[in-house]
Amino acid sequence: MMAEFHKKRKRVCRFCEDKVRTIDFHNDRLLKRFINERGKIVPRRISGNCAFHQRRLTTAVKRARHLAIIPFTSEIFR
Amino acid sequence: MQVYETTFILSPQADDAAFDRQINAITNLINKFNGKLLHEDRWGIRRLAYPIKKFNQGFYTRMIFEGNGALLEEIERHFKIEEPYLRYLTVIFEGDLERIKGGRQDEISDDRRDFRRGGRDDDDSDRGPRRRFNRDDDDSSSDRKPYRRFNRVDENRGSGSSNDKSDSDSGNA
Repeated sequence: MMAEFHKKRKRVCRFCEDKVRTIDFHNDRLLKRFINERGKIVPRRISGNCAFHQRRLTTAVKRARHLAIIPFTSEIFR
Repeated sequence: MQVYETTFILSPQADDAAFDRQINAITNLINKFNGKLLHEDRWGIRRLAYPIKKFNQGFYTRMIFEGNGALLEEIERHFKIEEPYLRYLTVIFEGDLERIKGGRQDEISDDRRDFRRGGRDDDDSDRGPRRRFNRDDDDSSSDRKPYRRFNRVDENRGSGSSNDKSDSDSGNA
């Protein structure tokens, strides 16, 4: 019975799958998929990204925030 | 020489001529320092994710160019001096120039469910259920209890019986 709860689902990094090497910080549509409603970066354990791409994603998100491409925080929580 | 990219936001108050003037100023700087403009992309007026200097919109331009450190210093100095720049960011360019020139953006495959929408009731959600600790607790308690009980019982029985024996012996003598 417990085994059903602990069913392992193998997640593969979406960037690795598509062989993306660099993450463009101008691409808001892409970045928005990896931030939550508050504008926080979604952790690797949830998004399933590999360490390499999570690092790249983090820098991309931070650059995009500086350029007001994506928000630091949501309008509602301000 | 290194390839850099710079993205800047111009104040939406200015007119088209002013946008042209500012962008040309950067282009002139690049030429002056023997740099090479590889790509210029004017996004036009775009909504800002948060207000900057009380503006809700801005004119975005992205430039990819080749140059040296002196050029970068001069460009950054220009950004600081000139009024209409709301934001700027210059970084080492990494990416596929041909791809960008073709106007294509990297997308990741979208066939799977969005992990952010994972509901608890949904069995197929990417996010698993909350962790459960009950199982571990049960295991440890079931291990410990019988062991202790066994020890205590053994001790009592052994000491009790020996005392009884010695008492009865002394009484008889």
